[in-house]
Amino acid sequence: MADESYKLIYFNARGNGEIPRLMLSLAGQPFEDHRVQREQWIEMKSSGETPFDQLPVLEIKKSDGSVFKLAQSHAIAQYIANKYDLNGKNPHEQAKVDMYVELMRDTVTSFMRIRFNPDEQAKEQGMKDFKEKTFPAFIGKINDATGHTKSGLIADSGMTRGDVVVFAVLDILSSMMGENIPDGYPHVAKLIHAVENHPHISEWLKKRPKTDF
Amino acid sequence: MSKETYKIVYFNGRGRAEVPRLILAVAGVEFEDERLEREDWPARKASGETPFGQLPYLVIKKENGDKLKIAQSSTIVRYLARKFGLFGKDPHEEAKVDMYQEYINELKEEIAKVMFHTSDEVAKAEGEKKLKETTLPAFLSKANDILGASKSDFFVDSGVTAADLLLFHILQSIIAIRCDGDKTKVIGDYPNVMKMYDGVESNKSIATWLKKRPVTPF
Repeated sequence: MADESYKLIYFNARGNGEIPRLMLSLAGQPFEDHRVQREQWIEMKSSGETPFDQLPVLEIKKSDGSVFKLAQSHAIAQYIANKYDLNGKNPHEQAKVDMYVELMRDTVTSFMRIRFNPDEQAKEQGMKDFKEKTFPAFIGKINDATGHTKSGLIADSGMTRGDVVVFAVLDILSSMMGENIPDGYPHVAKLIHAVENHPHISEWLKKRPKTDF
Repeated sequence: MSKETYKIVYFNGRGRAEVPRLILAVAGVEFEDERLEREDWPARKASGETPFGQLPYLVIKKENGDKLKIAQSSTIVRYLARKFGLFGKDPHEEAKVDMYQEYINELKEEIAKVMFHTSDEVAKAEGEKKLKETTLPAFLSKANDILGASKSDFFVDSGVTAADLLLFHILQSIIAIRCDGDKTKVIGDYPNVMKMYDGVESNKSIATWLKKRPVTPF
């Protein structure tokens, strides 16, 4: 049974909604970009209309009129990636893309733990360690991996979910760290450029609402 | 891509390698279960043998002898679960299994945050209280609803998947470490979760694995 239409529900922000939006854009799939205000969200939450009382949610209207609701930004990204062949050409390539995505997620989780640590001293030390050790180690791995593929992207076969996640994660980290991609990572810079200039993505980047986070 | 053989490399514990091991157990696939002692880890890490300098990793030996190494436990789980039919029978079921795993991993993150990443004693005690009184009950209630709506005793209609194995693994640790092995203390009020738990535990291949796996503190 075919998917008829997509509605991506999130707040008016990039946050955890942006990877699903970027994936739908890369896949060339039109979608309703539904952004809710706080008060609307409070209502939605208490009505139990989302799978886990969380956003984002992707509502997939099927050809028989029924609606399949998918929660969790990375599960949404995987679904779109698998459906539109943006997840690696075979199980081994798929595993490679997946493992780099998970590495990036781990890095963001570590960063957020530090960033929101109420202990000021621990936070300061944590940020220092992150900038000097954790972040370079992580971005170094991405740089090495993309330096060795035929495509210059995460997967040999072309642009995938992995590249979208690199783009989105570095977007979050640069704005929260107050820095841009370090100059010492030329392959990563090339990857970002490739993502930004993909026709569907650049179209989305031009038209998406400008938000602080 | 047909015959592959597998080696899972981890510490001598359940931790982040246990769900991959459970998947291979359910699938009836023999694998090399390499367990490193703490003292031996620094040398392995420095050797460049591991994909990301972390454990666990999966070594896939292909039919032609080539080796592929996969890091990140979630990736290892998805790879093996897909290969051995434990990830749902169609794209929509697959998406559900993925979504449920993400939700269960969020609970795991909350627990880990309180247990391992909160140094202040007062904050830690508050965190544990919140886990016990709010987070865990809310999660179990939602899981109970989802399981109740499924046609099978498991998260999705078609039967047991990696999502059930993941929740089973987490609950098993909580029950053993925090509740003296008495599962009713944790899931007694959630009959559908209990049915899932019992269903996994009584699966013949899982029961065999549970009997033969090393007994470890984590």
